[in-house]
This record gives sequence, structure tokens and C-alpha cells, in this order.
Amino acid sequence: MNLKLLVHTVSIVAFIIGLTQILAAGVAIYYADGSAISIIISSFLTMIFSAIVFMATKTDRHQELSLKDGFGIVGLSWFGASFFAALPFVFSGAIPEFTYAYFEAASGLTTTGSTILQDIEVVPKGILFWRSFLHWLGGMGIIVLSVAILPFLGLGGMQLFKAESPGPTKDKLGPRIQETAKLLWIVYVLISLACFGLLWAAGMSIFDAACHMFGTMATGGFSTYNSSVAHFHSPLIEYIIIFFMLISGISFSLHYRAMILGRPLEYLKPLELKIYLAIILLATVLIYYTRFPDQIPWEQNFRESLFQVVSIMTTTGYGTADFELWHGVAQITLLGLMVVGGCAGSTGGGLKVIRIVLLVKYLKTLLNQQLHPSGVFLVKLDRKRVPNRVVQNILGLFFTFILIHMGLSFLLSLFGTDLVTATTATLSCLSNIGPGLGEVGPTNNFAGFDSPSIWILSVAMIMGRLEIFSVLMLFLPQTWKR
Amino acid sequence: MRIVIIGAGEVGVHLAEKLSLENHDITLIEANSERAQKVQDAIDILVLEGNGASPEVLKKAGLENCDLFLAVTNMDEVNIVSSLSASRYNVPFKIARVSNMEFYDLDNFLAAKNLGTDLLINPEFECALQVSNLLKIPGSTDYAEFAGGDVILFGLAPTREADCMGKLLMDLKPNSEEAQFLICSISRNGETLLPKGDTLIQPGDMVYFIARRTELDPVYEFCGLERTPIRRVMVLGGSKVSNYLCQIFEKQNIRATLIEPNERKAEQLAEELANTLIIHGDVKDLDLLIEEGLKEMDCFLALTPDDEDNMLTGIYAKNQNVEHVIALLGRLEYIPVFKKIGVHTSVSPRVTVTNSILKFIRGGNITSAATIQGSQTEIMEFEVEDNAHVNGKPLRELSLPDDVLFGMVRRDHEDFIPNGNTVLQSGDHVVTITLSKDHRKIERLFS
Repeated sequence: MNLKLLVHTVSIVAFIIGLTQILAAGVAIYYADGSAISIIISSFLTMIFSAIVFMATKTDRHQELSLKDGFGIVGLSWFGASFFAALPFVFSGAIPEFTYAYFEAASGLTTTGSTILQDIEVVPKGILFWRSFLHWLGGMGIIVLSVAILPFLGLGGMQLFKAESPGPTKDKLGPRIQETAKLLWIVYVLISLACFGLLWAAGMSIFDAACHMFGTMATGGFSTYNSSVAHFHSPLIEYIIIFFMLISGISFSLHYRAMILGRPLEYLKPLELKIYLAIILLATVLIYYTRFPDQIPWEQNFRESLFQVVSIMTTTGYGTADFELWHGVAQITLLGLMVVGGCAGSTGGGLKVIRIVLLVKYLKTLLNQQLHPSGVFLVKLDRKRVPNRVVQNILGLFFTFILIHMGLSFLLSLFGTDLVTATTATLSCLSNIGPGLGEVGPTNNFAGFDSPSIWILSVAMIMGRLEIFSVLMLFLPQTWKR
Repeated sequence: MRIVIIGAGEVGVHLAEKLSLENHDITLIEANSERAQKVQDAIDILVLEGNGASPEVLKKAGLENCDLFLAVTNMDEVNIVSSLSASRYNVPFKIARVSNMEFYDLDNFLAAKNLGTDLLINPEFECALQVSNLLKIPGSTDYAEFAGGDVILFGLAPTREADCMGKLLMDLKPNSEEAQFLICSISRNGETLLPKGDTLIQPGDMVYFIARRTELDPVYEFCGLERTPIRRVMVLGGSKVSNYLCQIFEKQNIRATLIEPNERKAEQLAEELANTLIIHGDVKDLDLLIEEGLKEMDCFLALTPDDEDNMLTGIYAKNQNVEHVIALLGRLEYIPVFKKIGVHTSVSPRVTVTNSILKFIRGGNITSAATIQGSQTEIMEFEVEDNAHVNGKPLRELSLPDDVLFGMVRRDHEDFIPNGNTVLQSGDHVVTITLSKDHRKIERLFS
């Protein structure tokens, strides 16, 4: 591991975090909410510090990033970025304790959307904006952003891109990785603008529309109100958010091909998308029926069921209803969706639909092999063979996911958390969703955890966002050997 | 005609043989010197040793005066490049053997047709098509299409209990005026008979019929057979033919089990085929065949590259009461033997491909042509032209050679079986049956 190069590159990411804080400062000045000074201070501190580090670690020698460096840089960048992103919360006094501020910042960047704020509505608007903006930055990926705007990352950018963007297979949209990163961000910005425009037109204030757009497009889930999206009492807004959560749960390179290149038929091709939509439909219908005894008007029932399903499946975590009160079947269904998550290449978290699809296909080949011992059965996707390496990787990830989930839940319970809360909070953080069940249900928040638990959950969120392996690598001694 | 053939593989040699028998001048180019020598010793043609895509070799082969160019090596690239060269030499007809299906896509500007070939052939695919066509008429041997596919020719062996057995043809319904189908040829002990009124159908005969595709039931009734569609198939050997065939099966919802001994090949097949069960195992492992359900199969296809393997497994399958067994044959000499042992249907890629090339060469007013395997019968479809000899006269007044039969006539989308009073008109399509040695006579009738 090339430590100098690693710190050098991480300092660039930190600088971007500092730079974007100016945007939040602008919002704070506009609304004169008193948080402007503290945001500006944290912004300049971040930028000056990272600039010094950048200069100090600069070398003339041209250096190539190795695969190892890629993992190290991405892992450290996310931990570092969360640190600097937490500064405005601490300085402004909105979240005075650093541990909780760090959790909030990590929750923002990893698009989890879990909060430790008890009363969101009293927090200054500049800070609320920063919180939501972190979602949007983290949604498409800060590293992908750096690769897109910084030409000198060059070839090594591929390693970084690989380590950060979710899913078992990566689409390259052009011959150069920088071009791919740029195109992905362009698509992301364009769809975001559409989402913002519609939310604004549907009656939100500019501020609310921007913050909810950030939360929706990044499948984050931070709201500006205590009662989340339910605050607006507007079916139209809920449907708009459902639609854009759905969009954000789909691969953005697919959006690029279909929308920008004008080939809408591309949407019909991938199996993953079909399964994604099928799962959402099925889960919605199931939950719709479990709520029959509640005697709610059918449209409201349908809307609330669909909203919760899409919100959980895409790992957004917005709420319009309290599913704590729902039937056990509905809760288990939602829990299942938490594990599945969005499509590969989307801003959603979780294991990704494609991995579940491939695991099921693999299971099928195992069963077939029992029936025909000398038969040849391959895992295939869209008529193409999936290499064994990829299937093994998914099996490994799935196992690691379960192991880490068990381990972290156990740690939480050591600090006095009950079973339901511990397991669902860990799952929610690992999948970057937001709400869980029990004490972290949709109407509750994470304020009740003590410091050690908060640190555990912060690590869980970053692990989940980087699909576990990138972070686990940081804990391997071999990674740090020269 | 001056003909240049590239590639002395199975297809190339068979073509050279067939065409030289029809008095064409043939130059064959082959890169492998051993094989080149062998062909030179066996057939009366000029053999050049060299790469078929090399400009020097092509020049030596005399492309300037060449009338027909056939590139039939087993390498697409060589075939395409050499026919591209041939089109630069202004050779009027260029035929290339291409197995990569992408070159057939006419929308692609790199499609082989756009690169200067007049006809593309894919022997393996045509062979697969032939087998799948045979299976559409369960129990049949040989299959050829006429009149754009509405009229078909096929062979069936009547059972001993069939009504037609031991009767004279003139007493039977077919070949009479109200007949729905026509008997065009009978194969008996390796000999070919063109049917006449006093011909007797005997046990063991293979009878060739011409009938409308939609009216096959009377033929089955005539032969005392029942027509049951095929649902389960076992395919032995994962050649290209099997690959194409299984793709066709998948489209027709026929469940296929394919057995391939080579592990990498088996994996590749599993990758390319969606719903076919691929088994990796020895094709001669009879226990494996039984375990994978040989006894429940409607049809067994032995398509390995080895004739002997195909023969032995074919007999075994027949013994296990598999109703239809088709074996792929490289050597035509085996065909009568196969027929005798009950594996009564067999196909070979070089025959199917020779048929399509002969069809193309004859061109002109011949719209379709076929040969019956292992026999000397040729079936051709002519279009009657204004100045043809046959135009405007009742058939009985034409001085027809002895061994010529007129099968179906298609006029204004109607198919009928002609008799002595039929007057052919220009624009009619006529299916004729002759022995191979007489086909020039019949071509003269229609010129």
C-alpha cells in the first residue's frame, strides 16, 4: 500500500467536501438562520487542511494506483469524508457531540437516512440542507465524482470506480473511465432536476423540494420534517416521490442508454429490472391485502403500501405510514426487501436484486445437478454465462453479510439493545435504508443509542455502502504491507 | 462451366465429385498437401495446393475465366475473403460457406451478401433444418420442399399390415385422378424403381411420396402408420449440427437431452442453449443413456462425428424401443446398410449442402431440386416458360423418356396431380421425377 499516494488522494475527496459546504453556507445566509458562520468556518478549515495535506504528499514521480491502493483509498475516503462532513453539525451546535454528528454525516453520505435528531424542525435550514446534500453527493459516489472531474486520477480511476460503484458487474459507458463517471453524473443531475421541478410544481417550497429531491434521488431518506413525507398530506407528492425512488433504484447506465441515447427499448432487456419491478408489485399486493381489516380507503391503502415497499426496497427510508403497526406478514415482507435492495448500478443499497437473482439461479443449478449428476448446468443471465468467479464472489458476499450482521447485532445487544431493535437497526444500516423495527421504527430515531453503538452503526453504514469487502480489506494486515 | 472450389473437405470433395460427373471443369484449391494429393488421385479434376485466400493462388486457379466460385472451407474468414477476391475478378456466381449467422443479417452492411457473394450456405445449419423437417413427418426419410414449401417430398416405409401391401399400384388410389398424393419413387434392396401401373408394393420397400404439406394423414393411412408428434428427443454428440438443432427444438417446445463427451464443448453448449439439458459423458456409455431416459424418448439422434458410433448407438436405441432413430452419416456407402438394420433414417451434411448448391447452379427455370439419398432419383421443380417444349400440349402427346414422372403441378396457388390430359401452361410450376442419368433430357423438355 502506497500510504503517501493514499493520503494524497483522500485529501482531494476531503477538499470536495469542504468546497461543497460553501453551498450550504449560501443557503444558511439566504435564510439567515444563524448557522452560516459555523458552516463557513468548517468549510475553510476543511479546505485549508486538505490543501496542506495535498501539497505535503505531492510527488513528482508519476504513480500508478494498484488494486490494493484503490480499496484503501475508497475505504479511507469514506471514513474521512464523513469526518469533515460532520464538522458543520458540531460547530453550529445542532449536534454538539462529535460521535452523533459523525453518525449523522455518515448516514447522509452513505444514503442511509437514519437520524439521531429528535426534532428535525428546529434545526437551522443551512444544516438541514447540508444533511440532505450529503445524500446527493454520496448517492452517485464521491469517488465517482472525483474521477469525473479530476483528469489526473486517470487510469487508477478504474480501480477506484470498481471499488465504489455497487453491483457485481460494472458497465463502462465509454473507452475511458472518466467519461463513464462523467456521463453517470450527467444522467444523475438531469433526473434530479426533473425530480426537483416536479416536487416544486406539486406545491413544495424550493427548499423542501431540493432537500427531498436529494433524499429521493440518492435513495437516502433525510426529510426536513419530523413526520417525513407524510407531513405534506399530498398524494401527488407521494406519487412523484414513489416514481423517482423507483427510477433511482434502477441502474443509471441503463438510464443513460435508454434516455440519453434514446433507446427506450433497453428497459425491456435486463432480467434484473423485471425481477425488481415484479418484487415491488408482489410485495405491494401482499401488504395491501394484509391491511384489509384496517378498513382504509383502497386508494390510501394502495398508496401507502406501495410507498413503503418502494421506499424500503430502494433503501430510501422515507415514511408515509407507520409499518410498526402493520400485520406481521407485512413487516416480514419489508424486512426481506431490506436485504434485497435496489438494482446494481443504482443509488440504492442492499445486496442488489441481481445478486439475489443469481443466487436463486445458482440454487436451481445445484438442484438440477442432483437430478442429473453428469449434467452441465451454468448460471446464465440474459442468455450470457455468468463466470463461476462472480457467483462465488456473490456467495462469499452473502455469507459475509450474514456474518457481519450477526456480529454487529451481537455487539449492539452487548450494550443493552433488545433483539428486534439490534437486528433491524444493523440490517437497516448495512443496507443503507434508515428505519428498522422496535426502537428504530419509522416514527422513532437512533438518538437512544449510546456512543459505542453509534460507532458500530456508523461503521456498518459505510461497510454497507461499499459492499463490505472494500471496508473489510482495510482490516486485513496484508493490505497495509508494502 | 468452369468451376473453382476452395477447400477439399467433406463438402468440397463431394461437390467436386458430383459436378465433375456433370461434365463441368473443376479446379480445386486445398491447403493441406496430403488431402490435395488424395483428391487428385480419386477424381478427374485439377487440384492446386495453397491457401484459398491468397491472391497468387487464386490467380493461378484462373479466376478470370471462371463461371462459378465455391468457397467451402470450414473457415468463414477464408471463404469470405476468397469470394470477395472472386467478385473483384467479376466471377458471375460466388457461393460461400459461412457458419457465423451474423453474416446472414442483411441489415448489416457487412453482411456477406453485401460483400459480394451470391449465396451463403451453412451445411451444419441446413443439416439441422433437414433433421428437424424429418421429425415433423415422424418416421420419414428424406425431405424436400417444393412450390415454396407447400408441397413436400418424403419417404415412408409401409407396414406389413398396410392396405397397400402386395397390391398393384394401378389398383390403388394414388397416382389416379382424384389422388391427394403421389408415389414418386420406390427404393427396394438398394435399387430405385420409378412407379408404374404394374409395380407391386412389397414389405421392406421405402416409398417416396409427394404431397401437400397440409394433407399428410392420407399418406400415413396408406402406409398403415400413425402420426404422433415428437416431444422428447435425445441427441448424441455436441457438434454444430446438434447445436443448431437444439436451438430449433427449443423454439418448437421439444424437450431435448444432449450428450457430449468433451467437457469444454459441453460447457460451451450449455452456455449457448437455453432449455436443453446438457449431459457431459461418454456417448457410448449405454448406462448413462438409460439413466438419462433413453427409453422414454420419442426420438434418438446420433450426431457424433463418428459413423460407427452413430450406427452402434442407433441400433442400441432401436433395441430399446425408441421409435425414431436418425443417425448422421459422413459416408454415403453406409446409407443402404443403415436402412436395412432399421435405423431407417439418416442424413449427412454434405448431401444437404450439395443439394442447395446444385439447386442454385441449375438456376434458370429450375426453382427447386433434390436427390433421394443413396438412390439415383432426382426431383426437380421447373417453371414452364413461354417457348418451352412442354408448353400448351397435353402430356400424353409429349414424347417423354421412359423414366420420367410428372408430380405436382402448381397453377395460381392451386396444387394438383397431372394426368395424361393435363395441358401445361406457361407460369406453371411442375415437379418432375427422373433418374439422375436422365436429368438432362428433362431439362431439354423445359427449355
